[in-house]
Amino acid sequence: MALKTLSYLDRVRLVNGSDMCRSYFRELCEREPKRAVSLINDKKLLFVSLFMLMPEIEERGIYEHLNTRNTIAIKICRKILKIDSFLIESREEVYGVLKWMLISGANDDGLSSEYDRIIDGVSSLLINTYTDKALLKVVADVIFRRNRRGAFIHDLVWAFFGANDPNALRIIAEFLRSNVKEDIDLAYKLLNLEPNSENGYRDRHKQYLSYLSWVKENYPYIIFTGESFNLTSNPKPVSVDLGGRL
Amino acid sequence: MIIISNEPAHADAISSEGSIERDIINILSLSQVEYRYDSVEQLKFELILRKEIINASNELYRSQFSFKVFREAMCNQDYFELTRQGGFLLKDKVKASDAIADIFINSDKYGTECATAMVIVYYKALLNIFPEDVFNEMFPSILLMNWHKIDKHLREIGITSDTNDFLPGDRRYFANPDVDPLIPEWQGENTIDLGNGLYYGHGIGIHTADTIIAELNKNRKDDSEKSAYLMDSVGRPNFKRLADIYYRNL
Repeated sequence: MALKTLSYLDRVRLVNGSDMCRSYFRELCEREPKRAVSLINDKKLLFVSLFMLMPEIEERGIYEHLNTRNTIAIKICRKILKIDSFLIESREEVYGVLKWMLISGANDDGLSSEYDRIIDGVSSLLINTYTDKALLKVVADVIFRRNRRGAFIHDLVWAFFGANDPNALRIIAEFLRSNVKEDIDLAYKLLNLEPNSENGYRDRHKQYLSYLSWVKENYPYIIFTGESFNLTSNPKPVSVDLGGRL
Repeated sequence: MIIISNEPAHADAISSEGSIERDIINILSLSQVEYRYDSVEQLKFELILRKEIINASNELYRSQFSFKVFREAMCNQDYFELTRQGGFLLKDKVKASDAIADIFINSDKYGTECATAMVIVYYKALLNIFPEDVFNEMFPSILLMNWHKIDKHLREIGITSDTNDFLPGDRRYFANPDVDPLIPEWQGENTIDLGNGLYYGHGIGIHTADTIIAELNKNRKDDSEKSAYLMDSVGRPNFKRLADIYYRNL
């Protein structure tokens, strides 16, 4: 992302680091509170900057001056972190904020355990409550990036398959073509496929194409089983409604 | 029906020490399915291990072992390393027997989710039966994290399959398909069948199926239409392979 397209606070954070950004914002709240509010309410602000500045926002008493997007986002964070409950007043407004949180925040997944928990919760709400299937690719990318660094993925995988959408299988299958071993292994595991025993990974392009054909052929009859890592070592995400196929 | 060395065996002819073992024998005997054993000893080992699975469940229930989601999991770092995913990895130069025992001794230093608790139950059951040196030889490394990377000796506990008969000591799963999307820890409850209509689930306690279902139902999404339910499948260790190891090392 080009620096010049970013909000001022995001630029400060990226150029000078998170600690400097926090101390800059604290000082600004003392010196020029109106400017601090204007910067945090910037339309271009990334969710990660809001998340990082949440303690300063609360300490410096500027919460009541936040715009609707930021107010709702902080309420959602506090609900996911079980700090307090939040009754959803306007589904439309909340939906828009959730999308902003995920789309602008996904790249910074890994910032902290709390941040990752929020990304999990936001993804789960978008997929399972708002049935937004257009964001499955964004969530899949987070899953595979997390897996590469050995972080916790089970809740996010559970949320992802909650979409009950065969396109989710196609998105995961794309990672069979990755050049990264961790991606390929995880794709096999999530799709409950075995690498071709004779040729190992060399056949994975063929397996990818064959899997896509299988999805296409069975598309209307694919049933999501709801199996997860909480139930079994090798969850089978889908089965085929054979009765429906006959 | 029980078949031992290719001969049908009458329930009354098989000696058993306690009521749980007797209940298991009765279920096996009355079943339409043929339960085949190579020897009486092989059957007796299964009875002992099932009893110890129940004992270990009761021990864990009575301990201070707490419920924590993976991101907040905790363990005694004298024995285990806490992995980035929230699993417990046996530390180098620590004996598996000491580490598993410590979960029950210093239980207040440990906390995790329900699936990992089930794995701990199986390890403790085996520790109660096997000589310490054999146990340590079997498990030079241990990772405790739900059904992820299960040791080869316990591989089958991570797999569930449909069955006609449900036996005390089986792993059972209560699914909650309409769970609130923000609390995945309530997506289902892993339990051990304790017999007499009771189940042990970590965090939820020892209850009947109806009570566990009612608890799960309290954690569904607002517009839920589906109740939680007890699945018709079980998870079981490979009793026969474990019996072979046990008798080989007597």
